[in-house]
Amino acid sequence: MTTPEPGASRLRAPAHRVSPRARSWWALRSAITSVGLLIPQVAVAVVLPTYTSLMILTGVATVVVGVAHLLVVPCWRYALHRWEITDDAVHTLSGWLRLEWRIAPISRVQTVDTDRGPLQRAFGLSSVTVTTASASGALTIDGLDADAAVELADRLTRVTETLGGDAT
Amino acid sequence: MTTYPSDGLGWQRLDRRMLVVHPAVDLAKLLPVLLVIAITGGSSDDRWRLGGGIALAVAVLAFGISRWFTTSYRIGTDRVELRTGLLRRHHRSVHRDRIRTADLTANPAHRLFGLAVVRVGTGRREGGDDAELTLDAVRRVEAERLRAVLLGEAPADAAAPVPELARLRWTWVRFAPLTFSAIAVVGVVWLGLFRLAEEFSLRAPVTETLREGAGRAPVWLGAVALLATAVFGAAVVFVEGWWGYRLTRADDGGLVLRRGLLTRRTLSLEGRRLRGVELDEPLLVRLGRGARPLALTTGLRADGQGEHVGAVGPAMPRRRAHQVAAGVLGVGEEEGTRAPLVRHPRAAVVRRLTRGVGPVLVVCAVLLVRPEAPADAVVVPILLGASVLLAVDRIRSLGHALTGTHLVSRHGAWVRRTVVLRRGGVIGWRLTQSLTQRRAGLVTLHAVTAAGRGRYEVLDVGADRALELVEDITPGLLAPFVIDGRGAGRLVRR
Repeated sequence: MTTPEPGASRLRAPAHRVSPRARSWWALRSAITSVGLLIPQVAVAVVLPTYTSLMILTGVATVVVGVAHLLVVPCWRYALHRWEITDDAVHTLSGWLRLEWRIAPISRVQTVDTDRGPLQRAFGLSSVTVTTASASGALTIDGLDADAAVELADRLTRVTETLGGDAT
Repeated sequence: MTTYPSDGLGWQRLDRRMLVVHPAVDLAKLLPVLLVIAITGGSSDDRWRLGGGIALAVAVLAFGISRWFTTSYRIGTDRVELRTGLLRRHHRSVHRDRIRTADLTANPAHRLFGLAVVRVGTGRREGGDDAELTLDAVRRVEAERLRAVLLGEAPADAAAPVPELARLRWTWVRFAPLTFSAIAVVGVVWLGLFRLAEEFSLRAPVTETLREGAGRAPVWLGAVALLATAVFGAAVVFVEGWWGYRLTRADDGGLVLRRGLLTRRTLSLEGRRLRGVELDEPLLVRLGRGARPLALTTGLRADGQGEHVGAVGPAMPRRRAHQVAAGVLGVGEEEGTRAPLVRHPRAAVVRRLTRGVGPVLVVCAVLLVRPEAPADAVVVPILLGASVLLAVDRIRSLGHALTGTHLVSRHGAWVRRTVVLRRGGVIGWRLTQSLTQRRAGLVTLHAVTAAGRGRYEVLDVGADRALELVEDITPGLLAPFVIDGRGAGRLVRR
């Protein structure tokens, strides 16, 4: 492994965090996934007695990994997830093991959507999705405060409306 | 919004000959069903079955004929409209502003009657089929006229010479068996044969004969038979697909692609929709010193044709493919797919080795530890050798360049892809950094574009270089975020 030479330029994180309540949302989502994985294991353990001991083993593993994920990942995500809108572009930074920085120039934005799943609604959260002409150019800011999301979408829509063209 | 000249013809019907073609084609499609009706069934009530068959045929005929009476289209000043449907009327209109493609195809039935299908595309990906408008079918001359009107071209002047970028050479057929699609076709053909045999309950005797034969015939005979069908099948597909292949440049800087033996296809790619080219070299084709040129354009449907979207030629000798690519781009070869590439940092080379050989090492270790695993002496060296060769090939392939007009990126071993993307075609970025990349100070840069696969990556480039590329292609976009980070391999400082 080589170390890059000193003086290398890099990026500062975008300015805004998502809502602190997003942590609870991510935690709940993680818990639901773990429970979803546990149910079939319990079912197998009950129905097929030969596999009970094996299922107890994997079940314990699932619980341990699930709890660790629930405790660590939401905070980790919250620490990393950032977004910012400059005069030129929308920037998002997301991921936890693998960082991903997405950039969509404002002049290329085609649609701005907000959506709220049942889980997000329970926490008063909302996501904003910005799409461009590319099949893989969309970027999403998850876990925004619902009011802030509406405001942000409005602002983006107004900015993009003033620009013409079909943004390809 | 632009307004266009209407053709002043008002609502028009499809060509009268479709009164024959539609019912005939539908009936031909129905033939297997009718055959099954005729062959199967007991002796109980034959009249019933006969009546049913005839009623079905008549219904299909009537429907086919009704389509001509119920279908009409109009080229208006600002929109193209199509009305279809007998019971459920359907009216579709497409804004002429939104029209991106107008392609002609003609299957054998159409060609027999001198007709062609016009497919008007808007290039919207969401919306699926609904974003498309199909005139099935009009007279060939009318189809050419419509294409010219809709794409705003001057009517084709037969006498004027058109600059030609490529034309079929029959020696290219040698690449056909080397492509994956050839293997797939052979698989489909064999599967179809077995299905057919099963359908006519021939299966039992066939398997018996096979079993009897298998005892006597050597294995290599089977292999040769498979290989022969693969080569033959590939050649047939090649001839059907690329007969009369001709790639020419249109007035607006776009491309016109003509090809096909039984089904003639005329595909026009508007100049302002072109974003770049790609040169694909699947491993086998590359060993045969071949390559396949593709055009990156917006507005081509991504479904149905899979990888071959935007193919502007069959697999051809690499030298020719470079020429075609340069011709499509309108720049010299040295600024296109042959641009001298910048090597990536040493960490990227190390990563190719560890990622390529590492998993194979684990597999080999497992094989060696288990004494009951057979043929270790043969399998392990082959696995190791192949993985090292592939890793070395990946290292040799890896590279990128930034020319005055284009971003060039190349990577891959199974399929080596060289992508040349116009600077102006980049409409966004993605920078990703995994844990291991962070340690190595590398970043994968994805250039987002409206054309082709949607984004094209520059794999494992130094974090610095990635930011430099972004700054060069889209000045100022990332500038508010760039800071001086001492000793940083991390993309983002927290």
